[in-house]
Amino acid sequence: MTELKQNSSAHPRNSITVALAGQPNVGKSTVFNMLTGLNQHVGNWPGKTVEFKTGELVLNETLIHLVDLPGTYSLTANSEEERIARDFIIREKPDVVIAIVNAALLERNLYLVAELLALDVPIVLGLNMIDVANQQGLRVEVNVLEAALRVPVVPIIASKNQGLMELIEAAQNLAESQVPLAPNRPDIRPERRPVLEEIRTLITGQVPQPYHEDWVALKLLEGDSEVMEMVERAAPKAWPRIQALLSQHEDAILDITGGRYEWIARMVRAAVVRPRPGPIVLTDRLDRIATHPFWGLVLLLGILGMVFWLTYHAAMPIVEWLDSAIFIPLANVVSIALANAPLWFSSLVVDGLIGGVGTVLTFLPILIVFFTVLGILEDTGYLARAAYVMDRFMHWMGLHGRSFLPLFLGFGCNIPAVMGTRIIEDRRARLLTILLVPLVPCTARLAVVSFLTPAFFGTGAALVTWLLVIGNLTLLVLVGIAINRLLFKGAHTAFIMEIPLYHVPNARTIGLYVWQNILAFLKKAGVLIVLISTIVWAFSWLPDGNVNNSLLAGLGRWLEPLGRLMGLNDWRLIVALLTSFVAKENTIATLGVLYGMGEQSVGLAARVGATLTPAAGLSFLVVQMLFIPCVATIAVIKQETASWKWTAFSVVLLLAISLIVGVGVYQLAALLNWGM
Amino acid sequence: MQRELKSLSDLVTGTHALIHHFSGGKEFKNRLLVLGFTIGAEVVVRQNLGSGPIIVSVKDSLVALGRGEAEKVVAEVLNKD
Repeated sequence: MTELKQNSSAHPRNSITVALAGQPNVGKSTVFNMLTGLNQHVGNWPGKTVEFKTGELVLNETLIHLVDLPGTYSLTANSEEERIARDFIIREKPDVVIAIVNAALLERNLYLVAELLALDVPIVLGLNMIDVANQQGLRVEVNVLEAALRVPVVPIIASKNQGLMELIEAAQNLAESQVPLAPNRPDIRPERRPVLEEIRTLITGQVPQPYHEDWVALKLLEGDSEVMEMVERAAPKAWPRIQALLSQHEDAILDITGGRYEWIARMVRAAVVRPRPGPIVLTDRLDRIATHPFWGLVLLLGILGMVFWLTYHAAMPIVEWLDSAIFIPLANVVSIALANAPLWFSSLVVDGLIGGVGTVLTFLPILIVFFTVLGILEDTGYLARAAYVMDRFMHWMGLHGRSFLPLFLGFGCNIPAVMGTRIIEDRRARLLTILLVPLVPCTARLAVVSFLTPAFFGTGAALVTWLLVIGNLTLLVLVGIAINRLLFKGAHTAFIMEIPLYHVPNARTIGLYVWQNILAFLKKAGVLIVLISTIVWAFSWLPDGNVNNSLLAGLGRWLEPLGRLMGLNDWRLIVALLTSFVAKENTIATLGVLYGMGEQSVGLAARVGATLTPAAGLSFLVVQMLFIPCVATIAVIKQETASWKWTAFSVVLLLAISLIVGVGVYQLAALLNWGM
Repeated sequence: MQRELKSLSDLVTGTHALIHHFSGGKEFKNRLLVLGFTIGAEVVVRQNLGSGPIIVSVKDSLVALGRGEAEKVVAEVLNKD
């Protein structure tokens, strides 16, 4: 190793680009996090919703740009991630690609390597989780594997930070070495060789730069839709002949994938030793419970119960502390400091800005709890089991088990629920889940409902609350089915999901996962939340600082005819609903102000209740439960969909649902002459 | 020797089988092939509850397949252990 180090400094180069590739569940993000730490930048690939992570490190006076490619099983244009990964390698030409494989799952993981080799890029293999493989009675002979593949192989245990420096040094040496590598490449089965040759001849000289003709010919034979489109455009004359050949060899993909796996089997045959038959591993034992149809559900509900317990007992006290120890004193200090400033200015700063920033920051403890748990569940491999157990229940809506967890988290808070949809790989299912999250009643909405219901319904309060929750969830299922049928034409993505081996979670990976999610929330959603909160403040202040005369009150009065359809004859109720847009719990504070009472007052609910018939009270609660998402939720919907169109769709959808159901409930009650 | 052909969804837990063919579309087929479900590959049904998704092991890895997906994978039954 030291010898090689001197070599590299003899050919000084300022910087190299190293791409990190690997299938899902090989510990690739742990490798990336260990190498770059906080020295990384997370964004999106240009114009895409796929996460793009880059980081930097300096080694032997060389600056190494590390690019974390999306985790993919192959490099065929099956998914956006796969297109991104291969486009990066083909167009950006990284100096080296480090391919991470799980030593315990070598054959399956080498499939991606077989595809990478076809791209003619220098490769270093990072053989990860050799400790896990050993536990399972597997031993991988590194030298034998290296000799077979003719690429450098470095054994690593990323979670224990072992071998990573050697890995990156091997990449650096390869990038700076003058000797071209001649790796062993998978060959196509003999019966398909003539057709591959013919296609290769047909496209010669017609493939646009920087694509390789060999690779393009192979991908054509695989039936890769993106490459087919490219060749059709680039070689219109040869295309009919190519197309005819491809339709004759439609099943070539079976031989190509089969051939790659046969090649892999030859590569690993001598390198993998099984000194003893695989013992009953931990995974098998744990899975007897985790994937059991009954105990699996019990375990899942237990874990989710723990998440909510943590939210209430760890996160909420911090939220309350932030409020009472920081924001209220801060607001007081600032109002005193601004005593001589114009009234509107001090109100803007105290109620608008500090209020808005306070909203953003009070979400942080909740987000930290949720993302820590989600990170642990993902990193241990449990998340796939939870998805498997819940799959059967999600099918009606055209969703898979993976959508269950974010939706369930929505009961705590819709914001981490929307952000949590990142665990869903399929874009359509992810979008549908994001659209459905706001129908899950969050803690803030449940708090408003439980504050008002006893005053409205007395002893029937518990039943009404329960019915409201059931009503929301029923609507969620119905809306899910409707959106899937109407918007997505009943599309159904195949449920094919790898169930990874369990492993011990890595603290650094989870810490960075939480940190990156929080940072994304602050950067993207935070600004939007403060901005909208300030606008809403302006509406409630203008023109003269008295909320009763404000633009907001005017809007409420203007909407009174609509309110009357729901039995809400009082503009104050409408304004209370409108302010719930900033934060759901604002409904109560607003009612307190408008009814001239303190917001904590026990009498408030009774006083509001006295002005409403039971039917009107019910419709108010229904609308409150279904109303447009709060500002913070809308901001993360924008952040996660990267689309104003879908964000607007979500708002309009919930506005329509809440009004239709609100009016419907009141009119039905009127028809049945109940509670009028 | 003629062996029995069955959908993966019809195989009980513990059955060993060899992948024979797929009846799904191109993308579906590709995704499975990449995961190691190549023609002739040996799979073991690890969990099949008669309804809902099933778990299959292939090339040392575990893969969950929705019921509908499992129906479209036809395999040659080897034995039951």
